[in-house]
Amino acid sequence: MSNRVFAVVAFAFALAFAAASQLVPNEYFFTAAYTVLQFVILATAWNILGGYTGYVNFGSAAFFAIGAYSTVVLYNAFKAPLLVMIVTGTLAAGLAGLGLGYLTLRLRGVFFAIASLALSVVLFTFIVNWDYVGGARGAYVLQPREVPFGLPRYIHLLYIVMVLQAAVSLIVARTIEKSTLGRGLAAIRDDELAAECSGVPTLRLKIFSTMVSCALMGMAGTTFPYYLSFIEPSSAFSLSYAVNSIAMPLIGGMMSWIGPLIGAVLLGSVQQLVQVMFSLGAWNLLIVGALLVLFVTLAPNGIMGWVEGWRRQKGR
Amino acid sequence: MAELLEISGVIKRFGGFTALDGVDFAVRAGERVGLIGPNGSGKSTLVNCIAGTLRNEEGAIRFEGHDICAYPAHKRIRLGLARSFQIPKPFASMSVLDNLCVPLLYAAKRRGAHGPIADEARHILEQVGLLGKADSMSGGLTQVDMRKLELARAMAAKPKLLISDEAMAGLSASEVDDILELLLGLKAQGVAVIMIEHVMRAVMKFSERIAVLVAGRKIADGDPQAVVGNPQVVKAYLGE
Repeated sequence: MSNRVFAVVAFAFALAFAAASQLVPNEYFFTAAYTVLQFVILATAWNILGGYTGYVNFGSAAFFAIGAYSTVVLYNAFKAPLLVMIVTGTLAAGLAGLGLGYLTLRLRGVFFAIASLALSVVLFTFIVNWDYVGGARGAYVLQPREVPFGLPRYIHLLYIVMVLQAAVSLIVARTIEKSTLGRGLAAIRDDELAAECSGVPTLRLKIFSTMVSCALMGMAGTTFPYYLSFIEPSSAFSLSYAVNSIAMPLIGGMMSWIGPLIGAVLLGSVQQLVQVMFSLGAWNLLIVGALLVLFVTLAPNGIMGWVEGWRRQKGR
Repeated sequence: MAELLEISGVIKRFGGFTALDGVDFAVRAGERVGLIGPNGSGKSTLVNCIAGTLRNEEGAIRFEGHDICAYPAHKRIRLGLARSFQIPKPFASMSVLDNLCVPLLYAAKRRGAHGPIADEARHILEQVGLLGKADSMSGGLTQVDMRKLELARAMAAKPKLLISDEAMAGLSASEVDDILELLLGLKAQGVAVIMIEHVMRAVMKFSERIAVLVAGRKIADGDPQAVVGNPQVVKAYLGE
């Protein structure tokens, strides 16, 4: 399927999905689906650097928070329209990714992972001490009273935005994967030295994929303050973002765009179920951890890897 | 005749150890040169300095007249300076065919004049005798096939100079002949080859000229028969 066809299909599917779910009478559906979609975007974004390029980013929460807090700034400054906030947050996180990439990607593997974690801590401290965005107290970001497009509630709008953002992320990820760029990234993942000696401009490609990955993570965070109506550093920088955006691609499969989608929908839904049906929200990270151990030992290439292996065996 | 590769006064140090101590070396277009020397004499370091995976501290490296000392490795292969690795480094998650697509797309294509990438890759695989394994995963190949893939990937960059770093070490006699034939075939395409090797039978059969590196210095360079008869070379290999 060509990129353009895939983009059209993805958007059509997203719109149909968004429209169909307006028939769901249960308000809670939208709140839960918002969270799952958030993870779809985060996992897909993480996988562009982590899965395709082989560089583990522990700082997903930082880029998510950059998106969220750029919305807070724009809200405090002049109540900017939502679209402006989304674009600004995406660009800000992309720029931060570019900076991180430029400073750290000369280092190999594990050093990058540590640097990304450090960035998260530095940014957290910065936000806690920045009074304009509420500091440690947090800040209120109230949903507008009027909901556009005749939607019943603001969460419906946020939900549709998330569906579209997820579609955009998947299109970006798949386009990269199938392109010459994607082949170059895969070569870096397999053997960076051999890639460089095959003509792949490794540094430039790594910086680019970091930038795109971080920008999409930022995009996922831009509507978050509206979703909660209140934001504080500990929720925006929550450990669960960093852990989930690694765990979901790992469980789904890191080699293609579809793995993170499967992982996020599966893990995200399980977490919602546990939280609501059994009121065991605190167990969420434990469940993620247990599933992660299970998959790393039994199906190290994730669900997609397992399916692929099964298909190959059957073909023989 | 103009030199394709020209190295003068190259010095490379690792801390206090001088691995290359003022090496001068040149290769003409289409020439077949053997580079030999005892273990630790600096052969691989020289390859790394030429290919750009290491930077020499002093001296000049010119390729087709350009000073390439400041170029990163990916720029050098785009100019037509390819190398194979002593220990094969396949892109293990890709098929054999896809392995060749990387240099075809990133190095060869930039110098223009190409048909469909997959056809090009198949053509090269046919030359090295790996066409039957085009769709196998490269991580699961045998040692000899991995060496062939290593050379095929270097060839896929459509180089003007190919440096083969011990492609035959540890292979059986018939496998050595396979690889030798492959490298000799490059001559027909006008590709210059620097062959680094310990298998003397192969080096003697292959080389139009042999250079000898000992402890980071070049001690001999010239006609193969004359070089292996050189008392200094004999001393370096066998002692007194």
